[in-house]
Amino acid sequence: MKIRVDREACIGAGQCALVAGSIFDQDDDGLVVLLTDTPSDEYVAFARKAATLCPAKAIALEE
Amino acid sequence: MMSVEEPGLIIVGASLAGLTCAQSLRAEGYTKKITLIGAEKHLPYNRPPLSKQVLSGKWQGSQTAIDSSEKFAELALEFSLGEIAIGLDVSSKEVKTNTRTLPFEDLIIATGASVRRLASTENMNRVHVLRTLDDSLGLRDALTEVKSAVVIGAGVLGSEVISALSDFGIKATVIDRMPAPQLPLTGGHFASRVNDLFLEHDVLTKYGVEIIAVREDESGITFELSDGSSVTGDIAVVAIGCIPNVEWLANSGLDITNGILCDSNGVAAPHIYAAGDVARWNNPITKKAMRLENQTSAIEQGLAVGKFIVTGESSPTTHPFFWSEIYGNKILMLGSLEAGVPLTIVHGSPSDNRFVAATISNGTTTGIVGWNMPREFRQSRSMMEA
Repeated sequence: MKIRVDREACIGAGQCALVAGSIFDQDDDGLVVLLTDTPSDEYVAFARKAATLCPAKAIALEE
Repeated sequence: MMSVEEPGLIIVGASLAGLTCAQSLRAEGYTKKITLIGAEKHLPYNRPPLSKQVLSGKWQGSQTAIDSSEKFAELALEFSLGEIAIGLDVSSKEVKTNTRTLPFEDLIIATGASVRRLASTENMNRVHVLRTLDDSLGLRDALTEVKSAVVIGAGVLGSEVISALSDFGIKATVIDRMPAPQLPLTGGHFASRVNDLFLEHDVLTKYGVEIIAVREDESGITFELSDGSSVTGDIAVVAIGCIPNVEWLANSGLDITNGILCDSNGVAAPHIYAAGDVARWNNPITKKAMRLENQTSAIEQGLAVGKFIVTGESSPTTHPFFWSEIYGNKILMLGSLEAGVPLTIVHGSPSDNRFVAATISNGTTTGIVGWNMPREFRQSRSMMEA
C-alpha cells in the first residue's frame, strides 16, 4: 500500500493522527505530516481507517 | 454472480453518507447487490470546500471529488445518477423512482438536505444560495464581477461567505434575525469574537431584524428591514440553513419530522435505515434525537449502518464535529459547548488568538473548541472520552 496526503485539502482535524499515530502526525499548523508512505502490513488497516474518517478526504490510498 | 431475482440493498442518496454506507458494507463483507441512486448528476463530492477552497478560487470544482471512478468500481455498485426517488412502500419493501419500481431487502436513506430559500426571492437573478457544486461555481463567477454583496444569515456558512467576500475586495453586509452571529454547537460562546472579525473587516452588520420586503432591479437588490432601514447590494447570498429531503417519504409512515427518526443504530423501521443530513438519530447519552449536518457525522453514521447491517453490532456514539475557516482563523469544534457555562482555557490564550477551550459541567467535558491551535486541539480530544 502507498499513501498520499493532500496538505492543501487537510484541515487539521487530526483524525488520522488519532487512529494511526505511527503513520500520521500534524505540524505546527495542524496539517498532516506523513511519517511513512508505505505502512507495514499490520498497519494497513489503520491507514484505511484514517482515510475513511478524514473529514477533508485528504488521504488517498493506492493498494 | 448476483442474480436478477435477488433484491439486495438500495441506498438512496449518492453523496458522502450514502457512499460511506456502501464502503462500510463491502468492508464488513456484504456480498449481495447494492444499488446506489443519486438525484444529482455528479459523482459524490465533498461539500465543505464549496464555501472555502472552491469559493475562494483556490480549487477547481473537480478537486472536490471523493475518490476516483476506479475506487467506485471496486465497490461493485449498481450506480444510477440522475434518478430521483419519489416514494417508499414500507410493507411491500419497494422504492419508487422517476423511472422504475425497485424491490429491496434492506434500504438505506441518505437523501441529505436541500438549501432553504428565502421566500419571494426564488426566481431573482441576483440571489445566490450555496449547497451544491454548481451553486459554488456560479457564486464564484459572480464574485469576480460585483462590488457589494448582502449575506442573509450569520451562521457558519454565512460567515465563511462573508470572509470570502473580503478576499475579493467586495463590500459585505450581513443580515440576521438573531442578535449575533451563530456558529453551530458553540453555545453562543464565539458570537462576539466572530462579530469583532466582521467589524475589523468593515462588514455592515444588521442583527435582530426581519426582512420585510425584497426588491430586485437593474441597479441591485434591496432588502427592507423591520428596523426601518434598508440595505442594497449587487448580489445577495442566502445562507439560512437546510431542510431534510424527506418529501418523497410523506406517505411512507416513517416519522419524518425534521428528518427521519432513527434509533442509535440508524434503524428507522425494520430493514430501513437512514444516515447523514437527512437522519435524526437518537443519542443514547443525551436521550435526544438530533439531525447532525456535518461531514464527520455523515461518515460515522455511514460506517455504523454498514457494520450494523452486516454484523448486527452497534458502533459507539460519537461526538459531532465541524470545522471552519473565517478570515484565516482555523476553528475546530467537537461535541457541543454549553451556553452559560464559562469556557475553560486548556491551551494558549484567547488574547493571542490561539487557544483550545472547553465547557466542563459536573466533571464532564461537553465540548472542545480549537481556535488556530489544531495540534493541541487533537491532543485535548481525549478530555471528551473521560
